[in-house]
Amino acid sequence: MSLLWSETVQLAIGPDALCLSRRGEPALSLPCGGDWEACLAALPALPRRARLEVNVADRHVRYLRLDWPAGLKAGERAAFVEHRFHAVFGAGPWVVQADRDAICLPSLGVALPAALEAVLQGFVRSRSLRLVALEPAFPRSYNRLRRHLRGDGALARLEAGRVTLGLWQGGQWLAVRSQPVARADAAAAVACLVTLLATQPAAAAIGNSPGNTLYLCGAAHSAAAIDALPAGWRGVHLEGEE
Amino acid sequence: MSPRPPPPLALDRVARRPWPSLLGWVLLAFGLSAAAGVLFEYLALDARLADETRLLARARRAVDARGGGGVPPRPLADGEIRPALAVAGLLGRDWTGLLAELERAADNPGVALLELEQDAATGSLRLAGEARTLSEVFAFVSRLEAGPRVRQPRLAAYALRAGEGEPVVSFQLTARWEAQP
Repeated sequence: MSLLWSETVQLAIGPDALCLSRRGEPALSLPCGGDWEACLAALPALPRRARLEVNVADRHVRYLRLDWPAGLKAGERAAFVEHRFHAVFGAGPWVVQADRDAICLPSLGVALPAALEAVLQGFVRSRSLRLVALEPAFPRSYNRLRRHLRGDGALARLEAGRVTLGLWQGGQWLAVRSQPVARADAAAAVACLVTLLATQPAAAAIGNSPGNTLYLCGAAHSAAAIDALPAGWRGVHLEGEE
Repeated sequence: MSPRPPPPLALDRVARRPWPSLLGWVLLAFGLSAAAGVLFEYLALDARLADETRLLARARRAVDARGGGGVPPRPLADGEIRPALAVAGLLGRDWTGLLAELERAADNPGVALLELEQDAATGSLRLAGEARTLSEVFAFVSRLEAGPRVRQPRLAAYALRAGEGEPVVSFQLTARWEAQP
């Protein structure tokens, strides 16, 4: 590690494992059940003041599309987001986060288990690290792949036992869904897309208009052919996302 | 229909510090260049100060080696001497003698000296007082004229007015005052 620049360490909290990545070293993977504190304590020593970037798998995250009510004031947005997550996913407890840059348009919000964030903060303090990123997997993948996305469509992120799919049209989010699946592959993504399209109101023409694209990223075995897509849809695999 | 997907998602739980704008970088560059310029100027002036200090020390050593003899003072010009002597003359006038002479001249129960104005630069005096009769005023003028310091006393004005039971003569005198340091 340079004396001037602290090292950046990547920690992926997967569905059932932790993956620690450091520059110039092979990634270290440790199985992890539900006891995050014990799993984090098992990680090897890290350089003091290192920058820790944490990526949380979709299995531990809850997603919602947020449609801001008219007349909602800035100070009421946090309470509204918290209320929406509690109404949909229960009391949790969650720590919620709405898109900081979304002021008027419908956007996405995420909820992380409060216990996970508390354990991470304690881990960072005990190891004298600096937590510089704590980001769920789907928005992280979307931001990294956004330059490859064109027109209307959907991005499906596949991970072990789960598909997370975000649907957009005209530059606005229409819906987001994260659901467990027996096998995370293209067929599961297509099934998730079909389910999500069925929930869309008739006014949303994305289910019928041509030129929509379903982008797939994530699990390694997702390179299978994307079949049985709805009419007007085509499928594209995006590699190198993670 | 927009050809682009929605904007990037800002859903990181740790809010990242925004990267400085172009204006910020420009201001930083300006500040650094200004600081470098000031530092360069400071170093140059510091070196110059050190040189001048060495030259001064060398000059002092040379003066000390010559026995400490300094340059003889330049004689003052006539225009510089005259005002200085005038001020010194004013400061050195015999104020006590003048006041004692006025007091002696007014030492008469019929004369009261009420006011004294003097201009030391021109040597003029202006006195105001009261007397019971006009002859006492003239006697006061005569006593002033007999003194060594007051010259040319003149009765500038007088007026008769009724006092408490008897008339009073109010008078004003002008005179010259000779400087006798």
